[in-house]
Amino acid sequence: MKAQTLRSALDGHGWLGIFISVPLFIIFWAGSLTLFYPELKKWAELPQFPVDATQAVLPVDQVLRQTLAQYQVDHSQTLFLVLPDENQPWYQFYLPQLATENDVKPDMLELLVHPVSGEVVTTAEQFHFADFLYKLHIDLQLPAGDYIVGIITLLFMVIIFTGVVVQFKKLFSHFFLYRADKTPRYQLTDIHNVIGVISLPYSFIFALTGLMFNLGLISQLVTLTLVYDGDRQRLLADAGFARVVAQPSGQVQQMPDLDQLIADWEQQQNADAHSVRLNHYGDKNALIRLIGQHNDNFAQRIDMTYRVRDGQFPPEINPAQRNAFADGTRFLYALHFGHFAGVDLRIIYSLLGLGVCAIIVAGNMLWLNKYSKKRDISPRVCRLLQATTLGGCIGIVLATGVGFLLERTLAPAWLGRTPVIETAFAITLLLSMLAAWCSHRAKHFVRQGMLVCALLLLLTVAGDVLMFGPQLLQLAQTGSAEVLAVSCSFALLAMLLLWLASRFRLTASQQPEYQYQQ
Amino acid sequence: MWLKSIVALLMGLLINASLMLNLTLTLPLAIDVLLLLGYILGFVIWAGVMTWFYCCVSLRQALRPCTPVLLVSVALNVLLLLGERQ
Repeated sequence: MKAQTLRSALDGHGWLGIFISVPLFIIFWAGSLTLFYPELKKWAELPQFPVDATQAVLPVDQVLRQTLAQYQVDHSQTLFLVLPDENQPWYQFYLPQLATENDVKPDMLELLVHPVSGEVVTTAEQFHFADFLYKLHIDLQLPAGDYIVGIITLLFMVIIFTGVVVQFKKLFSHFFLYRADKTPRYQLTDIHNVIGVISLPYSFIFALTGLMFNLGLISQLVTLTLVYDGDRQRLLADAGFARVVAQPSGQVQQMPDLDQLIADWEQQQNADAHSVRLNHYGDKNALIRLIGQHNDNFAQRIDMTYRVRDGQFPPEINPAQRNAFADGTRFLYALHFGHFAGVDLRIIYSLLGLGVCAIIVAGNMLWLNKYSKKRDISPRVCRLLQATTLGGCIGIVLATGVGFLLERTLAPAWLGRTPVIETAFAITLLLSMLAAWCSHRAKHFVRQGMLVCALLLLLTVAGDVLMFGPQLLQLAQTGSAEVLAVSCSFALLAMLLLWLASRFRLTASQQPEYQYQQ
Repeated sequence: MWLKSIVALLMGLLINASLMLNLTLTLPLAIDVLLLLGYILGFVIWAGVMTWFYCCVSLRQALRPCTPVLLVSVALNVLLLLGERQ
């Protein structure tokens, strides 16, 4: 390959990298944590409202009737029920409320129902930090954020491709090259290249699947307009996502026993149901949609609709032939989040995700070191980029620490806890960027960040032990060891950060401190 | 670099959409398979075209092979769509 081509590719690689580095870091950081969504959710909820996983779960039919009797639920809309399983021990009910006398439509009820007692313990919204991180991963919590994340992911894929072009000749010969005895610039280059090459297949799949989720509509726009004449429902039907709709008849109908229906369906389909959607519940035209996972196929979802008036799953709305598009995209979704395997695979996924975070930081430092010496880039712009990179990357880690600490310590019944946690998250991120702008020593700033993050994690662990010590042990003995595992992971992470901070101090005393270019 | 990036983004999108439309209209496969193929391949082509732009020294050099590809593909789109509607 011509030297000029490589130079152009490297320029593009660096320019795009610096342009999207902070949002990409946030996406990968939040994504790495989101892999442990079920564990983080359990860690937040279970100590407050313990569930003995060894006890029998109440039938969903009984719990639903009991709950519906307590609230003014709009049965003409869809009631969504999430069933308890090994990932989450609660019944989660999402119920639309009836409009008030002034025709104001209240928010949907999000209820967390105890699976053994059948009592509503709290609203699902109260423990929202894991969901907040998930949303941060998919749309950065911004308006039209899914498209923004889609464009960032597209640019990330271009960065991967240009990286391969630049590194192609040395892809195998320099696979494990790390020159510890050389200057920091060489070390950063080696970190960037080695992690980049090792995580290449993983990064590519993440970029591709992320693109499909966030820019799928744009990619299908031409097909929709020219092949389907703008008929979105027809396109969705061909893609295997046809919506089955029915109008309510106004006639009351006895609903089937949901538990019996689910048990029969699970046996017939060799599947596990994980959620149920009820349309026009109590009406003659009611539809019951069962969604679950096949037990004899790899990551294959099953989604069937039962028509109450027919007493069966009619073939016209449950086609026997599987749809390649629906199965393919669901398979890729599972591949993106590692749903198909156990916690061990998710740990590997998470380490690879954090590896990409390390690549981003190393790449940025390299670019900034290189271009800060060029006269055509103003020192002020360079400084701003350095502050944004360091402050943004360290800030998001600190903000996560603040989020965990508040999630653990704020009272569960306090209605303001979710907005407070989200605001504290944003303020920490902004303050960190400001602090990075004021700081003139990069290593010192990173070290301070590590110490503060370790302190936040230790405080969270202290909160766990002091507030819920006996409950954590009790939960571990009754089948919910994940809660204790999350606390132990926080403690280990704090120790790791303290060790890294001490190493940073040692190396800083041995090497001259990297100064921001003035 | 800004101009190169914007042109690369748009050219990638256009070539992706046009080639995928040709694929959907010509390959004798089930529609769900074609949709999946277009969905996956489209993004790779889009990113591939953008990578080509970044590997070229100038915008003119990058556009030289891309413009004829796009024109031929769009012409084929028109012919196939007209043929299908008759």
